[in-house]
Amino acid sequence: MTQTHQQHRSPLLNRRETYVAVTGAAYTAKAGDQVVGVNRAGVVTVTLPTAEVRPGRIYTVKDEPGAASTNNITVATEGSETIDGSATKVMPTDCEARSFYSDGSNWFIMPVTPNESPGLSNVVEDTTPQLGGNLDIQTNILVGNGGSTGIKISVAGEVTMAAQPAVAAYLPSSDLNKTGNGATYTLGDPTDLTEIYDQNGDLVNTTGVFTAPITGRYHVEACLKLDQGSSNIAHTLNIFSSNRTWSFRDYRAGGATNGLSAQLSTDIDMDAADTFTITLVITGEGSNIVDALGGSSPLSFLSARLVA
Amino acid sequence: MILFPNGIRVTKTEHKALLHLVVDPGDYIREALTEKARLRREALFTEWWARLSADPEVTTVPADSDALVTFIMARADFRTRVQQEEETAASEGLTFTMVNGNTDQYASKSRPAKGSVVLCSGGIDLPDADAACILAYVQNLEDWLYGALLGQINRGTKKMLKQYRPVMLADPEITTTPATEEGMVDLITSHKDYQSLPAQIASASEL
Repeated sequence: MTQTHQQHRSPLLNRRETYVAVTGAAYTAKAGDQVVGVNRAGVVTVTLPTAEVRPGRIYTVKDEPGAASTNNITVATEGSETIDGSATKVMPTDCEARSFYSDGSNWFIMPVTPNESPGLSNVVEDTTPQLGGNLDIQTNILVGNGGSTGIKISVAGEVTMAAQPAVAAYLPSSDLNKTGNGATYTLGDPTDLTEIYDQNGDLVNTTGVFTAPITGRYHVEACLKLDQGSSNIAHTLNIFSSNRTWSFRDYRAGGATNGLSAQLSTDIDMDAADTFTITLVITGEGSNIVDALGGSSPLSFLSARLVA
Repeated sequence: MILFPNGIRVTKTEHKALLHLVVDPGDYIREALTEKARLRREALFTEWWARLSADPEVTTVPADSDALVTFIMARADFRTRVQQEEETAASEGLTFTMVNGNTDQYASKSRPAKGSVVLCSGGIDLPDADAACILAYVQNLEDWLYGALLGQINRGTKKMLKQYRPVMLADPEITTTPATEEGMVDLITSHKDYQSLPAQIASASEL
């Protein structure tokens, strides 16, 4: 097992803290430890010692590499003490941090407050303390767990938002004979869509229904590649949203529709819990003979994301 | 107006997915509908203030919110969403068809009384003016509610699986996992390390 101890006086908190880096599979916290930084490519068990069970004693355990979803951190007790009533507490979320305090008999979990975050020691004070000045934070900024579950601003300034509604999905095989004589075809029905990503779980891939988690402006794009039409056809591609239907209507005189693509993109207004689907109506054929082409790469697809 | 007077039935698995994200699924539905009505009323007023201001025949407008809704909807140039789309379809020689995809999707799944939960068992009371504001934009109120509910069930399921599938895989006591999403939800919610949102809040409040 490898661990290193450092005495560190926080410039913000002006108090002495003891930090230990844990790289082994198991570590029993020591009397002098306060912050336990777990940094191991594998599961880790941190044990809270019975000898430290006294009112107000606090340990903080942190997943430093942001890998706890793969390599869970288990916090256990040395004796018969419990943690919030359980024998152990599993930390399964990337970048998760938990503080554990004792009441003298058992351990309890409490949230880690921002002022206790070691990362804030890298805040650089504004040299021009006036309205409109800058707050220059020279470290990664994580909000809502950052990494895989929240907002992360890297030191270089790149912003990723892991839970921001953003969806891309495509038709993996063709839907045959779905429209042509006025029938409405919905992308995702009957053939399930293959999701490339669905960051916030907003798309039902088995129906092609996107549900907005919050009120906002959403950018939506759709493309349907068509096949088998043979005469003068009019096609209407719709974003059928709860508040309104956004339509692109086009007419092709003569010739086959083989390879014709219908495309539509726009920003739409969605209230929380609103839905949208992509629908296509073709008229002009004697029957519903037009196919929506699918395949192992995106031919017919949709994407959507929250933009404002 | 009372919507769903007998409530909305969901399976226990669907209920677990909802409880992953919300404390009370019934309250979630009611609050979503209330917020929808508020936003559509706001949108209706925003849209129509400009038109009323530009109309020389309009000299006064009601100050009361509900009266203003009635005033707008009594105008000859007002159309509900359904009326707008009926006119558009007719102008293009098409037949207007109401879209009830969410209702159809809800109905496609069996939810027997045994093994299911009824949400909003007394129905959902929506003031008529609020319903009118929503129907200015939405084709079908009940279909909208089904969409909201099914979307939240889907989101809760996906988020639960994303968060807890690695925990299940790392548990040496679990040798196989179900192949279906429903099976995974049942496995996860019965695991010792899982807490629904209400359970998490109850734990936190004890501190």
